[in-house]
Amino acid sequence: MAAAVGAGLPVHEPRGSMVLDIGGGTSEVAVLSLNGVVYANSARIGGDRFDEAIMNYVRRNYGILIGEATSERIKIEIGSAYPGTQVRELSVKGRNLSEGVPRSFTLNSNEILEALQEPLQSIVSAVKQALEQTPPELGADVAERGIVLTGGGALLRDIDKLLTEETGLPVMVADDPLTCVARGGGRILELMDELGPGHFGLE
Amino acid sequence: MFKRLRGYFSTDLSIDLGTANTLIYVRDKGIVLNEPSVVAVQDEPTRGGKIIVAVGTEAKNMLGRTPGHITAVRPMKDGVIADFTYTEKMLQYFINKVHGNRTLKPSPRVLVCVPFGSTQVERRAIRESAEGAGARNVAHRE
Ligand SMILES: Nc1ncnc2c1ncn2[C@@H]1O[C@H](COP(=O)(O)OP(=O)(O)OP(=O)(O)O)[C@@H](O)[C@H]1O
Ligand SMILES: [Mg+2]
Repeated sequence: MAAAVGAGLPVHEPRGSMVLDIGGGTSEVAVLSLNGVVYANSARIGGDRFDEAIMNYVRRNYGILIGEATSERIKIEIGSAYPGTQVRELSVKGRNLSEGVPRSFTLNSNEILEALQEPLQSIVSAVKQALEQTPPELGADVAERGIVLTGGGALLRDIDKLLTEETGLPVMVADDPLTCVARGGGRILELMDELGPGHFGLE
Repeated sequence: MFKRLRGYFSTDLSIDLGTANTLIYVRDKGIVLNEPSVVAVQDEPTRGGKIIVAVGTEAKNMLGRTPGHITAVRPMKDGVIADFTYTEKMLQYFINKVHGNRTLKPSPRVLVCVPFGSTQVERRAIRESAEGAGARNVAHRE
């Protein structure tokens, strides 16, 4: 809810809005209407799983151990969710498992795309499941207005393209996706003062 | 009237307590804090256990680079609290950082955003963490 409000979605309207927040630990997809949650599901897959997938790929294919910070940097610099025309490369360092010494090697964006397949597919499944379980009127609204992405994972290159390809729906990355939840929560506090706390079904 | 007064003396904070990053938004000020959700602790046997040596960005820079007596931990995992004590300490540190530690100031009204999938137990843990960190009226929603 906060993510959707922060992304500027008209959640108060009697129309369906779908938001997908891809964070570090979880991905959450929700359909909202009239300031309420119509459908929500959360999968424990996010940026951390992407980083792990890259570490495992490098260990398997190069016999080299890299740390979490390096893995995150690889993801941010050359990671993508959809094949692009341009192949990007990055030189990184890790510990060679058999020799036990630090080694430099070069990775390219196609390899990282391959490494990320499994967690990406899990996110796609969560979105498809959400679409299947959304009541038809609201589903029609979502089909028309599309899915809005928030959270750091929304910054993974071409994740919007992947989701458009898989769902056939328009997909947009929110402005400043990393701060949507905090800003949306702030807006909800203001609205609670204006309209009363009951308005948002707070506990 | 009450609302006015509260407006003068207190602050509303919206906190996104995330697995990777914690953000705090203050009304009329915008995002005032944006730091990694990481805590570094050091063994201190003489003072009965462990002390916190760094929180946030400083602690994240230590991840994977600590000597034996220091551990850098991410107290939130998979969107939930994996380590209650460190989450509370971290939240306390962040709230104090933006709110100041002045005793005359009333405690802030805080809204903490939690994941949809979190259980009652996890939600209570977050509420208690925020209260332990000096917040009042802790509401939270997905
Ligand atoms: N440009 C980028 N490309 C890909 N991933 C990115 C990019 N920038 C940040 N990320 C990833 O986004 C994640 C952090 O996102 P965010 O701050 O939204 O998570 P969080 O709110 O702390 O986690 P959660 O919501 O799961 O509790 C990290 O895994 C980080 O590596
Ligand atoms: Mg988040």
